[in-house]
Amino acid sequence: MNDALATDNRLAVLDHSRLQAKSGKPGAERGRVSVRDVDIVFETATGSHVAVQNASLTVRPGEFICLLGPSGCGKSTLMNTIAGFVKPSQGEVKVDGKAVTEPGPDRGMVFQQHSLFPWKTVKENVAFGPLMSGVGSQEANSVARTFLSLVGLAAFENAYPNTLSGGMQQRVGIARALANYPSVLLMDEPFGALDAQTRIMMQENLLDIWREFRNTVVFVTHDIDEAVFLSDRQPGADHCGYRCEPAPAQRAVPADQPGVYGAQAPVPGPDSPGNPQCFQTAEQNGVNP
Amino acid sequence: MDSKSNAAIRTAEPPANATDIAETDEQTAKGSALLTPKTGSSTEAPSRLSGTWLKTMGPRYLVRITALIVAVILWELASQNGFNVYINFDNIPAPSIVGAALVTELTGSEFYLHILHSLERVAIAYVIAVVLGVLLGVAMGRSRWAEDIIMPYIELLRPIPAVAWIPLAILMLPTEQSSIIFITFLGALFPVILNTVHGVEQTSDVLVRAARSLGASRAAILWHVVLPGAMPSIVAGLAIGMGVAWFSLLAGEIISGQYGIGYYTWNSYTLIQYPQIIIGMLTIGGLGTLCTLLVRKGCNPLLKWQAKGGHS
Repeated sequence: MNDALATDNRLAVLDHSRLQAKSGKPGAERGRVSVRDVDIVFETATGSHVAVQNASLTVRPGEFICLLGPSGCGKSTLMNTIAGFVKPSQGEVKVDGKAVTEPGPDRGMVFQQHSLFPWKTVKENVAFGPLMSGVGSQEANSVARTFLSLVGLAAFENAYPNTLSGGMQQRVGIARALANYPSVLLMDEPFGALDAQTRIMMQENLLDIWREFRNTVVFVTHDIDEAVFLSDRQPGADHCGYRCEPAPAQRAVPADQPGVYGAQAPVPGPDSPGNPQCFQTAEQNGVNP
Repeated sequence: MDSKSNAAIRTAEPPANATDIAETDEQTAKGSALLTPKTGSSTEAPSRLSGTWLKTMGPRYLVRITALIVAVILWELASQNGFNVYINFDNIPAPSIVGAALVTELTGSEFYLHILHSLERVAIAYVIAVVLGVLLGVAMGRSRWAEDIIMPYIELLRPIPAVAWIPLAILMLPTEQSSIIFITFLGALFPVILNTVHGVEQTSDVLVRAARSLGASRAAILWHVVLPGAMPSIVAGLAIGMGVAWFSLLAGEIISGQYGIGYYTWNSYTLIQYPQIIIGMLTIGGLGTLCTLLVRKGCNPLLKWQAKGGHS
């Protein structure tokens, strides 16, 4: 009873007007990501290297989708394009109708590890985004405290990141990304470096937070279990399917399908069913209910 | 609805991970997240800390002091007995004689004037070197153009010893004082620049990306990410620079002038006052060590995030 009251108070300080419209009002929706026919080619000393070819993807506002694929298949590159760190060689990336040209606070980013500023305390890390957006330091600090409570680290606000465990550091990372009230949360294998137990705990925490925020989440992982667990838990993922990208003819699901997306490693070759880098559709795997 | 889903957030963590000590800590803290953090442990922390410091470092400092005393005793014996096996102690004044001379110097006022003049020169030269060195170092670390333009000068000028600058310093600069400060400044400048460049170039790419995705401008990235990240390296450069400044000061003060601990040492040599030479040498060594220690201590607050251990 007391507990429920306390949690309520904790979330009352969240700026609900800046959260996704939980009532489902279409006008207030934000976080639509649209990737159209994107090629990403890196020029290296040994020649050009195709990282992503002909990728198309639409993420609806409030959706939680996973980009799934083996290491080196270009899923992180694609996410970095949405984040604005990498420019596509071909095609276009839009967030809420606006073409992405550079990183911005509307797209919060959670990295794999070691992305907290080690010289800033936990609170200063989370307050950094609000501070950069121009609010005063007092308000930035109060926003930081709100989000630290949300991830259960209020007692550690004055600790430096190197005194925290890996799981705690990633929670700070999530709080820091959320403190800007981003319309899209981009997560690049955020739990990849954690032990199995902590990882499961973090996945559940993330889904709880996402249910509160209802912002769009694009989650990169190479862990099939993780992708299935995370996207299974969200209502929009009923038709979740893995998808091979190489040729349009082989797409298992339409381009605007929500759910789990597989990407293929940029290795030329036939996509035989035995090719481990090419995932079958979820229906074939029997993953889907 | 709200309270239900929020309760889920708090109970989402299974107690299964009790084996992980850090995460267990986290859980207990989470339980009391809304209570005021306990203050008891933080107040008793410092006294406990100094206690353990005395226990671990006390014996080590005892050994260090003993090592110095042993050297002084050996020196005294060598001087009194006229030790002369390749190294000749015949004309070296014994520590007892140097000590007596030091007492005479300390009772007079001139010795302090020498120290004061040297301190003033080092202070001016060092401040200029630090400001210019950090600015140039950051510029070089951030811009390839700046690095390509400035680096050849540094590579070429850095190996030139301070003494070699004396003629040019006298020819180029208007006063003796400015020549001495220039030579001292040059000594401190290079370590500061090179360490700053090194630190800035080590900037973590992930942290810059994180800052950019949080909406930081270029200036904000420089101030919040690049400079703090380079700080350990910069501080090392500042400490080395202070040592080299004292090192170069002696060369500068050979130009003469009337005061200065380097001048005092050099002048004692021309006047064949052997105890005074040793007093001058040890004073330079002592002041250099002291100033370097002050620089390190002074910069500690900038690096407190590196300390491992307790929260807050």
